[in-house]
Amino acid sequence: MIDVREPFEWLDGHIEGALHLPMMESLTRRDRVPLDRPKAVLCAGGLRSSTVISALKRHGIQHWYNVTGGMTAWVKSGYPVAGSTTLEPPPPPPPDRTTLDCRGLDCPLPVVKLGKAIKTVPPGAAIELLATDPGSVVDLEAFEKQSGHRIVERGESAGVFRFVVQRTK
Amino acid sequence: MGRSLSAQYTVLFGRPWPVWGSAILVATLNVFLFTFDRPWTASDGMRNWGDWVLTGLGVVRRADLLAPWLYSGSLLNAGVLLGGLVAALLAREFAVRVPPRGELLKGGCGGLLMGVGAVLAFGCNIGGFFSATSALSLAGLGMMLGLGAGAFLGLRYLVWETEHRPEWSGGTGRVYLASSAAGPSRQPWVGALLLIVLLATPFVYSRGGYVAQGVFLLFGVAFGVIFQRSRFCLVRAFREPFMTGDAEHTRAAALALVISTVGFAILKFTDLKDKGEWVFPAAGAGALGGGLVFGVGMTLAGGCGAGSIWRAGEGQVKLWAAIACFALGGSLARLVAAQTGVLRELGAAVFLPSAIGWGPALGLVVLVMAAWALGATWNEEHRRFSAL
Repeated sequence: MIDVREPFEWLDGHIEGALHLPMMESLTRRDRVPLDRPKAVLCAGGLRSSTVISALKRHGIQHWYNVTGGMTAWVKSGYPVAGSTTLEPPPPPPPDRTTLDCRGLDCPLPVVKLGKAIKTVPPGAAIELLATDPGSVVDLEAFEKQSGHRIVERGESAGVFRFVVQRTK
Repeated sequence: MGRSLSAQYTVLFGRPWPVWGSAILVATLNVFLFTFDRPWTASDGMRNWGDWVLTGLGVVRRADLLAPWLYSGSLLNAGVLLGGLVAALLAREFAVRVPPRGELLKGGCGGLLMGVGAVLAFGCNIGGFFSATSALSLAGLGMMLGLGAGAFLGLRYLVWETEHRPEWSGGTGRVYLASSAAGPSRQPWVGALLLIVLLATPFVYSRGGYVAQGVFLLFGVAFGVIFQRSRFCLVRAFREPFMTGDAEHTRAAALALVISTVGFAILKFTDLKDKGEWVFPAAGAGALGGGLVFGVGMTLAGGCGAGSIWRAGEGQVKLWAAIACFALGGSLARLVAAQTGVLRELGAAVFLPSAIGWGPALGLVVLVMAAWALGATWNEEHRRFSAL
């Protein structure tokens, strides 16, 4: 049994003996999924679990069952629910982060600099980019689409745009 | 009612407009503007500002100089600037963004190159390429080649600078007057107020008998708002295939060119407009060389003839430097070119339908645009020409 809900949902109650693998980590940490046994996947209702199954199937992992109705149906049927006794180990610390300060630089410089900088970090590591040009938002999106590297975080405060871009390959 | 209004506001100013939709709007507006009086360009308005400053300083004497608040090109530019400002305020994106000193210098150099390039090509990338191609002038297609080469060279320079002289763009920029991410902001209210004032200007102008002038200003405002909200950008159309490879803006620009060309062709074919309008004697060295110089300039400055103006309106100080140098440099370059006689040596005025017939002329423009869009789309996948 694999539970793909978020940590806060897991803490609210889960099935004894289930493996907790939140949806967003299901691809990056798919090495935790046993290959030899059939697996039942569960979320709150059944949507996220089916998404995870189709994503992992594309990585060649077979033998899946989707728990229709999810945790909601499980609780309704009166099956036992375990509390927050078996906590997941804390998530690994965030990878080393380099900050690229492009405040004050206009398009296309932030992306040119990012394109150079991302080649200097190992795959999986991330670069934090600060920029003030609103054009950098579209630039970064074009960069993500074309380069395949991933924008894992984005935000804006007081006119400064902040992106965290992860090198994927 | 309140909920529908707020939903509309979010659609218009909460998220960016689709690029291709905005390209269609820009092309259509350009046809409207030509129908009304003249096509769109940024460089003659810039030069008007430069001439005006230089006349005020006593450097040149021009008896025929129109005041900036009466000249159509200058009013279009003022409109684009104010439109960019209004849209940025309404979207809470306005902020005075001061770049490091090296960037300011680059903006100035870019502006200067754009000023010179626009004189050689008889227009910036808007007037000399976008509107000239629409007017079926061969010079427009010539400038397109120049702009592409210029954008490529400009980008190579920027990549070189980032690798070998990173300190030139070092130092931290500063941001003033930005709206905070959360919580209420005064920006939309100021923007709405400014928009109302702008909408009232034609009435003010009409009292002095200058109705058209007010309309030019509003055309500019519309261009400014569309560009700011969509960030549709002709620099990006030329540069991006060489950079990340993304071709969205290239396809949008090609679409805009085709629509605008069809509109202009109808106006000229039906004799509603003179066939020679916006066909300048630049087909030759002028369009190619001017396009090249302009292309380098717009890549360095981070904004083209139109982009510099609306981006200046949203508070980017680097583009303020670009505009100042564009205006003064263009004005001086034009003076020198006129006095040395260079202005008459730049090329031929070729109206394509007179040379090859209406059908082939239209077909040529469509074919060139289709090839541009297709080539960029192919490269999007293969990234054969992309530096990043």
